[in-house]
Amino acid sequence: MNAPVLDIEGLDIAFPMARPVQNLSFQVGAGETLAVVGESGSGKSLTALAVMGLLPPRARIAAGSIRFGGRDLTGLKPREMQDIRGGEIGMIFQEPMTSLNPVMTIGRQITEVIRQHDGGTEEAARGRAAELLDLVRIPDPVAKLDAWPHELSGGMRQRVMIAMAVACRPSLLIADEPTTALDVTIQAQVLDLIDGLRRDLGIAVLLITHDLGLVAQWADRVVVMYAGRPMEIAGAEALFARPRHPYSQGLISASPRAQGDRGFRDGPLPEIPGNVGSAASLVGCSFAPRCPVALPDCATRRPALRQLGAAHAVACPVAK
Amino acid sequence: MTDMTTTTAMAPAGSRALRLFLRNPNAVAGMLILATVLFAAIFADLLAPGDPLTMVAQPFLWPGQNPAYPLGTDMMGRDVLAGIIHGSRVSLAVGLAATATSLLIGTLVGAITGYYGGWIDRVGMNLVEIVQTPPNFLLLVVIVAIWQPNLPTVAIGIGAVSWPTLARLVRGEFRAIRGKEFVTAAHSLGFSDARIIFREVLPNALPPVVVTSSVLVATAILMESALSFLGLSDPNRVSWGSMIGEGREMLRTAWYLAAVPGLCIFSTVLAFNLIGDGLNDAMNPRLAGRE
Amino acid sequence: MPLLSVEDLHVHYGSAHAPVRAVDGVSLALDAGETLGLVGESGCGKSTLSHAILRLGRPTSGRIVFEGQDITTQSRRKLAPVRSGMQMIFQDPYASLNPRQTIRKILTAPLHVHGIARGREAAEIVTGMAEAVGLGPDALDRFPHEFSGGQRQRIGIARALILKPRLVICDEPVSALDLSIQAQILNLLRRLQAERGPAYLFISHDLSVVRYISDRIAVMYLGRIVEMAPAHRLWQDPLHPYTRALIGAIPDATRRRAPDLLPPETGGRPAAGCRFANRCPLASARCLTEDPALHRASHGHQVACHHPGTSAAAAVA
Repeated sequence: MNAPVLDIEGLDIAFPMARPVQNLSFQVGAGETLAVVGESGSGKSLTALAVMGLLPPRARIAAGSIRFGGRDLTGLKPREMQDIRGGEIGMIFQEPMTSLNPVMTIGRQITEVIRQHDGGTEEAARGRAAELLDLVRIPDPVAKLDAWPHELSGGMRQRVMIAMAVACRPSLLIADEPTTALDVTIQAQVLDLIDGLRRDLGIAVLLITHDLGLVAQWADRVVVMYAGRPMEIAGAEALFARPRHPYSQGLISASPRAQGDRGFRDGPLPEIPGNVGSAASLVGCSFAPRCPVALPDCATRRPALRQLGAAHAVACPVAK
Repeated sequence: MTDMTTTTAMAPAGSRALRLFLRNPNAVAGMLILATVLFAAIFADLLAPGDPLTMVAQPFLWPGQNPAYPLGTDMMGRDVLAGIIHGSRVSLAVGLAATATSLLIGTLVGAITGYYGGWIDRVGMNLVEIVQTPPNFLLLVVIVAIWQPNLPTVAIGIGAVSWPTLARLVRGEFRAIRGKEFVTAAHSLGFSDARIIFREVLPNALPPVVVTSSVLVATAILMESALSFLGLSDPNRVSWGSMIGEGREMLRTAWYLAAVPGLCIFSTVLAFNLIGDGLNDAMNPRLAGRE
Repeated sequence: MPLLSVEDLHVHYGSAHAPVRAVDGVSLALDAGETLGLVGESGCGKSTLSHAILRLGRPTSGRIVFEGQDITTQSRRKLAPVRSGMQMIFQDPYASLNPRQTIRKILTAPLHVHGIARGREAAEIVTGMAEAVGLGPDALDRFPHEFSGGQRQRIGIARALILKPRLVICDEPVSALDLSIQAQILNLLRRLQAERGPAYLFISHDLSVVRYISDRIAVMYLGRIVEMAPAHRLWQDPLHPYTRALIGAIPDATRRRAPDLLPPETGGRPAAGCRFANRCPLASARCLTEDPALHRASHGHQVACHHPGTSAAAAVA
């Protein structure tokens, strides 16, 4: 990998009473898709918010660094962060319904973003907005500039969000559950679009998702998170071919997709017992209480990430 | 399942709200004022024995002039303190009875219109608008003028003009809650409408109703005072409003006659408003999360 | 005789001259103890259909027959005893439990309302049911907010099954849950069916979940069933282009960066003809004028398409 676009090192995110992300390190290289995958409470969305400087009021970065374009984002003033957001870092969220302003036309919203960051005349920005709508494959882009958000379907709205996110030629695109609210057939189209932009414009993509299928199909590399900590970091193909961490193994085999022709009349799904716990209460491995192969040590000593091959790291003493 | 063990033990929502309420200094101040008034009302016969309308000393004794009558006497030589103490009964009784009346009507109308919708809702809301169109107080004066000017009439009258606020509130809550899945679940379980209205939906609609009720008590006390001031309430009972009404003619020479009961009304109304605010903060789940 | 049969059911909303046809002529049958998966995207009418079957909404036309009894237009009073025979498990485990009632009250109320048991007898049934869904006896006196999503879904399942229904409609019961919890709930539904024998109508947008849990699958599109077949059959030999698109859109490691894409949506259905024609890679002139009916393609396999089983490549050639 060349110099990474985004380099997160030893990140801790803290609330007054909890530390929902602990000791997280990963890099995203130019033109690659890195997926952070996890269930609720894994800290994946907080990580994305930390990169964008949008942590909730009571949360703070307690340790570590987030390096982007030669700067540590954790030390920037809100004003400087504002210039980076929507400029060098583009963002797409889960809800295309609420992310667009309902009382402004599509064109107006895109031109505002362009003029905020690049300046220029209204006409130039409008021309660029039409180009962007064409880029995200919205049919009849010039006419669509005057459309209102409610006139578009969910999939089309998400395309508009993507157009706004890449309006200022970002080097990093953060996509937080970008297709969770969309139907499966639309979901495939939107991800195909994001992947095309990655390829054609060389944008690095940080994909935050709970959906293992998306990761398997679209990511180059994967960070599997559980209760605030990275469990496994690996290439996507290597991870799905041979998951090493007991949590990754459990998650992949529990998926109905992994059952093939085996139906429910043939036997139960392999399941991970118990509930998602919280990281704060545990000294040892956060997965230990649910882990089928936990050693006595696991409850008291936190396993560090260790390399198992060139691009594969696992935080588990049992994994081979 | 092992997942039982990982749930955090949380107190039921009710006791958490109570804890938040008791931690709010304004709400506690309101409770203290109300407790004082309540004490006076309950033990009025012990604190100030005898009829407060009898003449006991020379008229126009200023507060502090004679230690036997700490708040002085009025133009007819009646003890102001005794009047205040007995008057608290009227204010509280009318405030609470009026609120109970409007709770009964308002909740029933609001629940039924909000739950059923359709033509029932249209009829109910028309009724609400009819009651709300004339100014409340004017309507109250008419009601009291038509019936006897005694305390039950006054209380029911105030209730009868102030229920529309509650009806609108309860209707709004019911419309929001009736679409929730647990109500659909109740339908699919074959529960009757009455059971769904009173046992499934109503308990969920109560928090804002409780908050509004405390403010309604305050409003009712003010209305009763205003009626007494105009001499339209029960002439045989001392009330804070009637004391102000009688004292207003002496405002230049003996302003304390109007000021003392005025202060009582002010503090009691303030107390109910503080309690209402405190309840609102404590029962609002969004704010309760601040804990 | 099937446990449930739905015949040409229509549920329309809105005004008479421009109705929204949420359910637009659905026929299906469900045998005792069977699981029928109903899959479709948002707005296809699958939830409206399930509400109509439970008579929570009023059908516009058609017939619903449950255990031999026509319940399409029955009054609420006559419906009450039928209710205990068909129950529902909801999607949102947060919204579907009354936040102000303890679990004990939530589970006891149905027994009281249907006059099944009272007092100690009811308490025993409730404890037994809680145990069957994996909740300890200490759970009963707590409130819903004290539980995680997965545990709440267990409570919802206990409430649905406490009346011993013969039919349970599961409306996206695992969509709101984390993946590791999904498997637990699916296994619980599987075990309860084996022990107590209810039939499931399992509604989901997630074809891979439906594939695992169902004996047969019905695919719904804009208010109509477009294909219905045994689960393995539908998967191996999907005949409708929409079914193929749904299967092709499931993200999968075997199709790295190469999903099967439908053309982008170009708005609603055509005025006449097939409702899928505007998005269909196979659409012909006939598809724009003639609405295909659901017909039998082979034993147990029905499809509503003029070009069933044709691949897009063959159509181009």
